[in-house]
Amino acid sequence: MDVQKLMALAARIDELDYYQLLGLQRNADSFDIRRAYHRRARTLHPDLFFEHESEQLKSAIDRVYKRVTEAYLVLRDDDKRNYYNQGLTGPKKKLRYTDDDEKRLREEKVAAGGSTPQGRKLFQEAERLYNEGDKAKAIQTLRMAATFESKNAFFQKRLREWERGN
Amino acid sequence: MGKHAIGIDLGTTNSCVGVVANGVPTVVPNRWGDNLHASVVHFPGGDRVIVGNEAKRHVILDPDRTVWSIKRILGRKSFSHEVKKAQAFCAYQIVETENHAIRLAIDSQIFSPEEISAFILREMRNLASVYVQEDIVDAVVTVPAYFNDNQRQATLDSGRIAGLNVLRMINEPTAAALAYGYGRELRQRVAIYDLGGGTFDLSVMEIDGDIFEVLGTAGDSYLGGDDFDLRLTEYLVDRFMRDTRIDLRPHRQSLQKLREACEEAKKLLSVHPEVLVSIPDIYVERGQAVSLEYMVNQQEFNSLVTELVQRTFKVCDEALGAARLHPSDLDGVILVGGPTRLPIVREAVAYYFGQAPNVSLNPDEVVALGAAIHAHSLMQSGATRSGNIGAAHLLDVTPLSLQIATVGGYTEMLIERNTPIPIERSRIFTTVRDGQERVNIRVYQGESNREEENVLLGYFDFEGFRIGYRGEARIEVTFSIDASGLVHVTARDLETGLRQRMTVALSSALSEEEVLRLSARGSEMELVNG
Repeated sequence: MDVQKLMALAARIDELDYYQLLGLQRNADSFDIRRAYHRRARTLHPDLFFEHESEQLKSAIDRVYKRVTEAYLVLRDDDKRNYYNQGLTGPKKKLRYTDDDEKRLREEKVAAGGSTPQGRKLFQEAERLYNEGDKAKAIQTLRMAATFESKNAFFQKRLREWERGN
Repeated sequence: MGKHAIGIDLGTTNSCVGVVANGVPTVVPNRWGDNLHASVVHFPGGDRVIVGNEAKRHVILDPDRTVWSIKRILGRKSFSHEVKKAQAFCAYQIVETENHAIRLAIDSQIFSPEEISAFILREMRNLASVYVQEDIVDAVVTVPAYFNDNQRQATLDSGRIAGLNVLRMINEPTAAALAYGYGRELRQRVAIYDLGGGTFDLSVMEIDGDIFEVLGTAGDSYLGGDDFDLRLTEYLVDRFMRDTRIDLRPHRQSLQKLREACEEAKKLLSVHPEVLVSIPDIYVERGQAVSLEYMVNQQEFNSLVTELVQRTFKVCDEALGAARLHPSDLDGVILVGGPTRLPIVREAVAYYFGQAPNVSLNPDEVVALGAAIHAHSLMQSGATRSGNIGAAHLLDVTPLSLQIATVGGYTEMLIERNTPIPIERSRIFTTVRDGQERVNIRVYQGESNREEENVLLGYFDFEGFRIGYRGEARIEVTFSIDASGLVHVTARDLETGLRQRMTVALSSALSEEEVLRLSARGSEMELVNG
């Protein structure tokens, strides 16, 4: 990539979502995502400009490439990617996955573990059933888990997701 | 042909230096033809220093003035387990200075661990400079993948003291993978099993032509070939005590002799079913000399070290888990580090991974070769590429989670381990009390949510914002990890709108003046041969 194109890319980096940045369709699978990351590394890795005389270009490349890594980090992880997709398609069109998002996702995951022994056990059982394809029974089990933890928002959310998908 | 740049494998027991000369990556020998140089520094007196295999002889003859295995305590604090262990074993004094840093007292001189490492790096630099007949300053230096920021910073400072321009620090297993796959257009998933003198790393990598991506890494920085020697030494000390009622433990010189003999025996046991460990007159009292003489066979040795070998597979489980792969998903296993020559290691690795490891590479030299290739490739960037060598991209990860202290001794995760680098993440900090003048941020690395169970990288106060009610000041702090795995922190005051930026060096980094002073002092000492 030539210098002008790179500077132009750096200038509009905050307008691109992760899919655009990596050149991916929204439905890309994990193989596509990894290949896209490799493709970007071949043209945008700061090592390619290590001995370049322009400090301005080097700092621009540094910013662009760190965003590439960030995009890869988020899209390759199903949970992060789901969370990101919700923000991206939501009313605010959030282009980046931030530290706050990470915190919230982690809290959800902790909650997802369940706060009561019965809730936790039933939730794990429900997840297992769901992954094995027995969706009806999974939903039934998750409903039971939810009766033990009526305030667990994550159980409710997961339940809605599954019911919608069924 | 432009300037040369070198790759240095700065090892716990041995170091090695490589260079790409006329388009071919090669390991640089010393004038006796050795490719491996003991990481030993000897101070014979005056302003002279001896480094390498010549210095190694003095470990026994002159233990007070001979430093070995400095890497084990480089970048560590005085209260760490490794420093305590070294204090018990070394003949020279290891003393504490401010901030729990450590210094070595040799005769009347005081050295930091960074200065000792710098002597080794300077020797490597000299060897390569003679080899290509050019004063070399640019280098890539390798570190164990599991090194934390303090250890990486100390390695970087060692390089600066040695007068090197450290282009990059790369992880040893990654360097090995580069040497293995460079220019071969491979499409493979491999595990790099790197058992060095003092550290163990396992990296799971995907090689996609010119891309070398680390999918997961884990390590144990308290486990290496040295520990194998130690097990055998302790075993023979106990046996000697049983047979003669003489305890060798308080006698450092005898112990040192035995340790060295055990290291030799370990190497011989890779090819011979049994070896004789013999030290004449190991103990002399009131004119009476007692010798030590024991036959040790492979089976005996194996039973002493099985537990150590098994520990490596816990690390393998962890790295594969992070990469979400099974041992059977791998196309190959590459062995790195001298101790991987041991049959017990090879057999256990073959069993764990369900395939025979790749033994086509020299496990002692492959890291330096990879570092040399990367150094060369960095120097060529931005210029026109020379014929034989094209770009290769190392996509590495951070081995440890980056955390910050919250309240009550707890920490909170900021950047998780195995996150690809370079990366950055910002967090907004605010005041918690009315009239608060400064915000204190403490940065840690580790996997625990308790402060004391993680390694403190540094702490800093952010001040100069407008003082007001609590929550009014908003400070955006950006934590980034660069391609060398070094952590940087910058802060920006969002409240005042002043784009006041400050870069915070974590506490372990030496200042420019300090480096210059130490570098000048190091240069005054003459590196001599034998």
